[in-house]
Amino acid sequence: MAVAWHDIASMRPPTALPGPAKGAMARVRRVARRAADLWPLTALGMALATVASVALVSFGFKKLDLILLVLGYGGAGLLAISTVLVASTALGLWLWLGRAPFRWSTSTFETGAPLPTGFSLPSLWWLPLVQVRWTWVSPDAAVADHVVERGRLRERVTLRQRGIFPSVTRRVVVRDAFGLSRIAFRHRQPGPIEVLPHLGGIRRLQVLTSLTGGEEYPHPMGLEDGDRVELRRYVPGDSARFIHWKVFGRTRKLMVRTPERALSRARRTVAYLVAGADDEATAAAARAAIEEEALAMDWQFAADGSSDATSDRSEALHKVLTSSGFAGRSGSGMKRFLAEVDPRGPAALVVFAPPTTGSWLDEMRSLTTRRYGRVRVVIAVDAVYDPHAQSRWRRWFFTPVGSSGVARGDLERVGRALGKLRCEVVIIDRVSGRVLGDARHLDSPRRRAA
Amino acid sequence: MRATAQPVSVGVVGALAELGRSTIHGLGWSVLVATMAPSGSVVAAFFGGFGGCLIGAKLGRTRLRTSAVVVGAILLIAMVALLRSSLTHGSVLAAALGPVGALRFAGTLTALLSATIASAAMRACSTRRALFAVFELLLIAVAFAQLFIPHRHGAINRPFYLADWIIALGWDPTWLFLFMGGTATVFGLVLLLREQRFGRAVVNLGVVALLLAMIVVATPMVGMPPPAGRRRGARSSSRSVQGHGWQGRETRPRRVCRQRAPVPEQVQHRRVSRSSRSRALS
Repeated sequence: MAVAWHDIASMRPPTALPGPAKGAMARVRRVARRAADLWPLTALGMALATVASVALVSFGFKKLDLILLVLGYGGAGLLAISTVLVASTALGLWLWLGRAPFRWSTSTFETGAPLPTGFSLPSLWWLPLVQVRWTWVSPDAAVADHVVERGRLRERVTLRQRGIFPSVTRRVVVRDAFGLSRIAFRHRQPGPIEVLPHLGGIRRLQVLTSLTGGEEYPHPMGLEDGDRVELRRYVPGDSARFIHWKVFGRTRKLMVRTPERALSRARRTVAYLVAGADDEATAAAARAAIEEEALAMDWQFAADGSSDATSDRSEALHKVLTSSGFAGRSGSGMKRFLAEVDPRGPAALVVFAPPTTGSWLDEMRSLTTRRYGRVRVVIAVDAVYDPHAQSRWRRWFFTPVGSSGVARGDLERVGRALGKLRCEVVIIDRVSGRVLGDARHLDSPRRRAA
Repeated sequence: MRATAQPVSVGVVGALAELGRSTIHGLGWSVLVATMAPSGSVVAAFFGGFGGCLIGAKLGRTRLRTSAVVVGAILLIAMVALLRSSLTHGSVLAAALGPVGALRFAGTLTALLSATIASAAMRACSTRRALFAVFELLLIAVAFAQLFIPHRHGAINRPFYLADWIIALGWDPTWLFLFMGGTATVFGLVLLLREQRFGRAVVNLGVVALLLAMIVVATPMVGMPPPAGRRRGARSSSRSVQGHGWQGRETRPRRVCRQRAPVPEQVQHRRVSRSSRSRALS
């Protein structure tokens, strides 16, 4: 076990910069980005300004080159017109957005699919040269398309991050059709909105429904729930049906048959969701387990960020959502959760874990050394890619494919570490709902992201 | 923030836009080559630029790295230069086609390949990063500017092959140069246009055309920049304007007489030597 732990400890991602320096860098970057948003000229616009200036001054005026004179005037004129139009449009839109009320089409969204949000902006079809586009700054989402409908651009968005968000921040970009000038500003739309992780193919997964069933081990700490193979002395109140008459005939002692104490049919399941990098698919697996009642009849659930146990379905889903914003050590609430639920009796433990290494593996180590029986770990992924699948010369010439998702090496490291901790690992593909493998074997090295 | 690449236009509009860009590339290359190579090379350069632009648009959507595209283009152009050198310096092609034919063939092949490679690289890069579109604009600017270099310093009676014809019709060559400048600007700006909807693209180009028409019409009205000699207060030299319709502030271009402007001695000598060379060739 110690050897295994040495491996796990070495898997922690290295930190390049100390915390305060990193924070300062992030702040500087943020301020610089804001300043760049207000600067109206793009790189192409500045290049055109340079070309037009050289054409005008060095050739148009100095050498009386009429071709370059017109070209210089044209470039500079277009740049000036587009900058004025873009700046005035941006100002007008900013003022209008400050007053315009927007209503959400729904308050609950799901990741992975483009959905209308109810937000729209005027398409400005009547204004030449000007284009309006926008993106989401927070939460993480991709604006799938801007559908033009009755003179308005209506938003459809594909969310990528689960959670409960008090507001949505958009970056509205007003630019010209030639790419010469651009002004961006931010707009905040109050929420709240709930974003659930999409289930993909995990909806009906056998592995989740079988987690609490199956044959396990007889154990003195288990419930009296197995076959009646145990014997004990008769005590008043025992049913006469279970008296072992043959033993009584031989020994003249009244013995009764009792069920064996076993963990084979755990009536209780406790499940914990560990938050971490690339944990969206795993959160979807947890959601599927809660919604499809794959955690047996009696269950308790908790997640990073709110480690109090709950048996309520909607509260458990709420925990799945809020775990997205958890910024502490991943898996740090597991110990507290188990301290709360374990005294209530034996229970099967299912841990929904992210596919990347992190401090949650420390928690798993201390957990497995204390706990009897195996811990089942469910890891879900959207895509697995192999960064070393391409040869070196191909990497020089071509951009790598399939960089979205989880690196195969990372996933294998997590599987190996959990295997050494004697955990039962199940790796699920969210897109197809298929089991990709366990701690030792992993299928489908490359899949498309959901 | 990374500059956004050109959006992928789809359908007929996308195809039309790509064809338009390819034609402008072809025209740019053919104009650039026109003053340096025989007529066959002009056609080859047009097709090279046209094809190269189409190839570049496809190339820009592949996973090939931009750095690989640039380095590859430089290497390929170097190889084309080597090929031309081996064709013109070797005796095999000259023996088969004759020295003039070998030179023409080498020039045509060089124009075709260079235009194809350079256009493909420029288009591939500008498909990915908008900033690279400035090279396409420079191609058009350089091509048109070098075609009309002789008219600089107020010598609007040159190049003679154009100015003589215009003057013979009784018009002012200034308008021709201004119009050609406007055309070059429109071509260059069409290459920068990033509009996915056909109607909006037409409206935007209409605005640009209107702007350029205003510039072309207003420039002679407002007044051209005075020649360098005049600006310094010096007397006009032999190269300064004489009898041309746009010196000073004028409300409309003056009709010019069909009198040829005095030609400097050096140019006269060059013209004589050119005509004697053509006689010798014939």
